Amino acid sequence: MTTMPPASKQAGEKWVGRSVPRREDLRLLTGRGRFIDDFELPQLKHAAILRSPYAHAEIGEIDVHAALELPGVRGVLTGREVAAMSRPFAVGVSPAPKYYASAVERARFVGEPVAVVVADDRYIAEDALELIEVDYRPLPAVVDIEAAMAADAPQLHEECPNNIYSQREFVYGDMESAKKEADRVVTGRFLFPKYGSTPIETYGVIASYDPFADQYEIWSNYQGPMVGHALVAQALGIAENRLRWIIPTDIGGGFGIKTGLYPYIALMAMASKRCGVPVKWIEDRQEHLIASATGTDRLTEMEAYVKSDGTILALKDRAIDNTGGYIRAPEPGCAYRSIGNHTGAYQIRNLEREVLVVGTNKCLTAPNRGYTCQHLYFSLERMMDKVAAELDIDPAEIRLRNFIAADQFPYKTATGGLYDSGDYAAAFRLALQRFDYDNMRQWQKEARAEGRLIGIGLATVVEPSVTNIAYVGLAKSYLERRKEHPKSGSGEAIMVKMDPLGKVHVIAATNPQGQGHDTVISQVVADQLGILPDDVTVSNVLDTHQRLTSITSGSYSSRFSSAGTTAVVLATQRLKEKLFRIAGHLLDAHVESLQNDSHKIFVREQPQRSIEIRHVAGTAHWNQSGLPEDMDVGLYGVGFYNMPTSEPPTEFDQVNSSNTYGFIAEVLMVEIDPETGALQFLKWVSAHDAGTVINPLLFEGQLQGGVAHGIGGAIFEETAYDENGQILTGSFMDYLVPTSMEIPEVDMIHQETPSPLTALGSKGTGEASAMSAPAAIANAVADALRPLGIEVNELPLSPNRIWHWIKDAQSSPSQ
Amino acid sequence: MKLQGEVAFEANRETVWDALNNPEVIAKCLPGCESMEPAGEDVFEAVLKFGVGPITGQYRVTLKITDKNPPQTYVLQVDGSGKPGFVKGQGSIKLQAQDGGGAVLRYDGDLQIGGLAARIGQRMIGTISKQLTKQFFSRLVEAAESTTEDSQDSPQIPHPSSNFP
Repeated sequence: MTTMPPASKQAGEKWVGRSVPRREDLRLLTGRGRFIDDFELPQLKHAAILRSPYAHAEIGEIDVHAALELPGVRGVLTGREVAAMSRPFAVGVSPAPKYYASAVERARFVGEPVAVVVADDRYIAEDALELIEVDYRPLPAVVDIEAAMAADAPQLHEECPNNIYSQREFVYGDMESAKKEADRVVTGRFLFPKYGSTPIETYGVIASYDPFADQYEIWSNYQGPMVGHALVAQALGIAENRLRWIIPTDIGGGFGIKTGLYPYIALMAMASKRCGVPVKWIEDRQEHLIASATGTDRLTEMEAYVKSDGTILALKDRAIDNTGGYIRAPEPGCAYRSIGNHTGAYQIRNLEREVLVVGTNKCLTAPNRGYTCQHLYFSLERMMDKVAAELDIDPAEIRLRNFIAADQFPYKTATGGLYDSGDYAAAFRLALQRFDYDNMRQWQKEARAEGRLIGIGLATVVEPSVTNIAYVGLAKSYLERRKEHPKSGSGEAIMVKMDPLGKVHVIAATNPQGQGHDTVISQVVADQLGILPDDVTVSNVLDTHQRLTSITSGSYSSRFSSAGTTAVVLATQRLKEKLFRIAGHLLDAHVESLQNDSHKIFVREQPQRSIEIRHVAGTAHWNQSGLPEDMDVGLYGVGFYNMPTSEPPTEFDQVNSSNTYGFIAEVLMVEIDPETGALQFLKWVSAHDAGTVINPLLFEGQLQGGVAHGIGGAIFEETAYDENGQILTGSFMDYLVPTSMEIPEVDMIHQETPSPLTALGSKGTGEASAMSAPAAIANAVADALRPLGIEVNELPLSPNRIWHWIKDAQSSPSQ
Repeated sequence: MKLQGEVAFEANRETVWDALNNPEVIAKCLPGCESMEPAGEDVFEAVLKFGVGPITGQYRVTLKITDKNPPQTYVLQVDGSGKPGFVKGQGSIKLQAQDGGGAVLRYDGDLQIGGLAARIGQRMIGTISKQLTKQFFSRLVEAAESTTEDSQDSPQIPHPSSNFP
């Protein structure tokens, strides 16, 4: 059976831009996907992890005797053994608190690993956990961001006074002049909650230690970047080539959460070494919800310096992030990842910014879909609405007045971001038009007069994609950075080879988690070679011993559609060059005079002088002496693409933290039921510009997923703790995620402003409305509740929270 | 979580005070109490069994009575753990004699429950804790009154350990 549509396209029509159905779906939908839990190794045993029930506790004796006596138990690994067998993980702050794969002397969050049991099956391992006696001595816990910095707060790490992991101040532009020139200052204080994107497939690791070769073989659904591989090798104290790391083709969602998985890889590697058997551990849902990773919670204070006409001259802000009981790479990226696009879609040339990253007794953080851009835009877009209200300017108008104009691209932001292309006003106007904005504002007035709580919410944001790993350097000052080796890059590698009959096989390590990379690769290669996608097979497995990879390999920050596809094009072009050189040799023609169709290569001016592609390919394989004299045998091309815009930070702390920058405009309307506080979407238009759309079907899939995660963050999700650090959301009973019933129909608009940096003009779009919807929904709710004098400065906007606001407003004397 | 309330006794204050200091009575009134042994002056080791939602299990708990001021007040400290997690708390008990005989007991405590029971049973913890507290005091009322009626017999209270949600 073929997954491709019949070749009904016209001559010259491209596969890129068409809704080619996903070739992955038949496999996945019929249960033939191969996920981490589907893999076995000979003699494989199973691990379970004992976790701290306390948010903060000294760990005394751990008595494992009874557990070891249980039949079927192969061994136990405790935190003290972990400390003896490994080093703390490296992280980009100094001084760095010691973070091992397991709690050692002290547990710092509920769910932190304390010991590992390895047994013949998971049931026995779980039973054995109950036989381990741990002498915990509970300590006071702290969960609140501001309380953590107070003088009398419980101290988590002696290396980090006041529980501060990272702190920096930045000034860009000319703040003094901007402040003088401003007519008004508008202030805001915003609290963004802690939540994660709960991929359907939880984590999993298979680890096998070979004592004779002193090598580890790891299987895991780790997401990338392969920085994690370097960190684990370093923690285990081995050379990186002794750590073979294999990531299966099928991963059930990642959303950045699976970048936080590598400590478990080290933990299982040590369990395998300690117990002398290969070990498998699959995280259960409870473990995931309490102890895997979420995005950070953030407290932001912001000031906007504005002119009476609505021009925003400067921003001053202070943001405090909370990475939990430890700080784990890529954190403190939460505070620096979005620095290049910190001023969003607007021409704001002056910025003063203080960032703090603190520790509390909560579970650790990782880049959650959007990697704090949702935090940034929640405060920035709420501020845009506050400025609009303050100056009595329409919120759509205030955005239009501050947008970067279409003729300013490529645009360098005050913070060093290099926006490659865009036309923000055009995309926003399309969205407003489709929404029928002016009429809807009129209708809103009428509905309000009837007492209905109707709100219109806007958000216009820049969607950064393809991380430049340089951004993490901002956690250190220029002087500190100068003492270290510079870091930068965003590279991706692809190999394309042609078999003797002219069919193509692509060797990739782009590490998809459901995005449909293989489908896209087949489209791109088909266009480049003028063949059919069905003639292209793809093997997509990240294997550090058998694939070309780099530190930046993996699938995160929407890098595939920009960096990945460009590497595919480069590799295919190199293959094609070689193919044409052989054809020129066989036809006795200049390479420049050749052209091809799906079957043959011919001389452009004399089409009868032709040779079938399979004969050219056959020559390369079957008659190697028939090749041009100076040519290597083998018919393949390798593309290793690094964005030319990925450079280290400057001495002024400017950094292009991403490489391609798209745009999103949300225009939506909600109604709030004053009796229940429940929110209903009445209308939603979402315009996206991610450059060339490679496959509209996949593109829309990403956008729909982004909407769902955005709604989750705006209304439902929060990893909540009580004041003692006990987690309150340990199951899906209490950690609410939206279901399809809560997702409204969203009217999508695509605008295509090609990127000059990528072969196809495409940009990333994997974060999408996950970063803009929380801001837009908050703006809509704020607009709906404005007649009651209610401000919206925090999320999630649960019915319970809104109901309390309404009741408080109604009972306050001013009403 | 906070546990607060008021219980009225027909028995007089001294009888209630005695009941509150009698380990046998407390053992019978404590919901899910499987055993209770003295472990020093005003210190008791108890094994309690109760369930929060789907998480049922045994807890080994130390009960400690401090700040005694007979027959008016004492402070009860609870500290224990079991497979489903841990409990930790402290509460004050105040007894007041009523004019027409009888007594009123006011309790005011703070209880922490952690571990699996807290994570999974979050929605139920508050309700169940309050329910268990009420059960304890209603049994204590019965115990104090039966002591008043017939001080020779030990109180007739059904053993409660299976009686849980």
